[in-house]
Amino acid sequence: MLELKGLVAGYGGVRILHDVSLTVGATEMVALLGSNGVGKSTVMKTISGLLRSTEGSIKFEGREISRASPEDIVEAGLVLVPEGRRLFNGMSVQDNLLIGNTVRHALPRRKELLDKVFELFPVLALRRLQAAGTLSGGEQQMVAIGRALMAAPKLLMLDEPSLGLAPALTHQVFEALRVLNKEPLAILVVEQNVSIALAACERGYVLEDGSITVSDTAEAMRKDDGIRKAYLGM
Amino acid sequence: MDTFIQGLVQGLAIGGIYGLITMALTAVYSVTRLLNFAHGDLMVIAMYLALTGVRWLGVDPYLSILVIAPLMFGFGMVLFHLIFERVLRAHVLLVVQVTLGLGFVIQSALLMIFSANYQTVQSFLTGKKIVLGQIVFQATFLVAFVVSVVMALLFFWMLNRTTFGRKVRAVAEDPTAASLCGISVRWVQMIVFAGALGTLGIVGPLVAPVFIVEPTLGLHLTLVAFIVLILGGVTNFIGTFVAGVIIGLAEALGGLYMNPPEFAGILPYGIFILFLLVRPSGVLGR
Repeated sequence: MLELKGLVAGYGGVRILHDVSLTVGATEMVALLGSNGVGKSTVMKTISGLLRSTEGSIKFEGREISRASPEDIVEAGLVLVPEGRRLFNGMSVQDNLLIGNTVRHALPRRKELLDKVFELFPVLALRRLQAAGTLSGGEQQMVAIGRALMAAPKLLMLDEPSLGLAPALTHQVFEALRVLNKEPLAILVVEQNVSIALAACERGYVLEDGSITVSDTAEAMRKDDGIRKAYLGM
Repeated sequence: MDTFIQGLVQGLAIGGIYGLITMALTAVYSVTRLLNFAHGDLMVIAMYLALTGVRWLGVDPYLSILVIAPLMFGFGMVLFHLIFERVLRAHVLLVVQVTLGLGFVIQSALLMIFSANYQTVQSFLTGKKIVLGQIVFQATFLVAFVVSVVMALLFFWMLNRTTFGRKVRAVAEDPTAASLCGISVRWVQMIVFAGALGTLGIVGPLVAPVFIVEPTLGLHLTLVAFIVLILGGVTNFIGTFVAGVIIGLAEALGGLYMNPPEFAGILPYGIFILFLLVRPSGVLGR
């Protein structure tokens, strides 16, 4: 469904990504792992159109999207939950969710999608008129995921969903992602919390210095000595 | 007492208009971070269009709004595409230069076409008085005030209750996050910019009968709008309207009671400086 081949990207002449190739299947949940500063967020920004790649290709459902604008990529069904959530803090929870519902194919399904989000995260129904900025970190992450779901994505991408969350909330977020994955919804998640990501995903990639160095099943990665030492602290 | 009330009505009318002009400026600023120094001059174009309508075609200024507002909206789309979009990511000083330059181009063009003469625009309401007991005021002021309040309310409704308004607020708060929600930031910016000019296309003909029209009026309007913008708290739309009314009242009542009356022109600036010293966050704060 999503296929990156030999992706090269960076900021103002500084190369961050040297050679990134990865795939995500239509029903898969895939983790992109790596330590701080190796370019995980850059991969996400490049896929979602915030950053232009200089070489390589990004194909979504067979269509080349490496030159598409962020809004066209959302329209195509590829939606990113950005790092740090980036909610509209002054707006209510409901307005944040409705903002996510702007693409053409999702508009007629507004009511249905909203109900689905409230079913997945019941606490948001109670907070729907509260300003998003006043919610707890976990609730904000739920709004961010809910906002992305309002665009009726085919592939959901998340950049560090566990950032700033207590372990119990992180588990809750990943539990929700697994429920969504069963629908099915393809998911690509960037995580520094390797153990929880590998527990939830089927496959994983490891990004080091802007290149993919490991690609394997989550099962095999959990048993890999190198990964255990480097990322799981064992 | 009745002169006071007349001054009050006049101040409210002018102030409401100032508030509205500034809301258009603020709306553009909030989605583009771009201050348009030609804002007032663009409004003066609309006023001269109304003048042209009355002089040469015999169309009442109020009626000509039906043509001028869409015309200005379209002009806004073109202007955004040709000029403003190109300087969106440029240095702030370049933006100041480009928009100031545009203002001077407009002023010179108006000077060439219409001469520097002070002109008045006659409407069917000109000279009509409304009498309420002891109080007499001009119908043109009342119409200007009522329309500006209605338009401000429409604007708030649009911003807070419609899908487009939500998009505008999203782009104002975080353009990147907005684009990740599938919103075309460029499209929102263009419509807001064109909408601002469309608003000027309504306001211009509306106040043409109560202003004296001349080519450099635009610079004065831009200055007032900037003062109101800062008094109102920059992106606080309600504050903006309130600040507009304060400045309008200061001008009108100052003209009545200041001695000599020439000092009245200083009053808005005095209030402005006072606010900067005492309450820099604007009338309603943030």
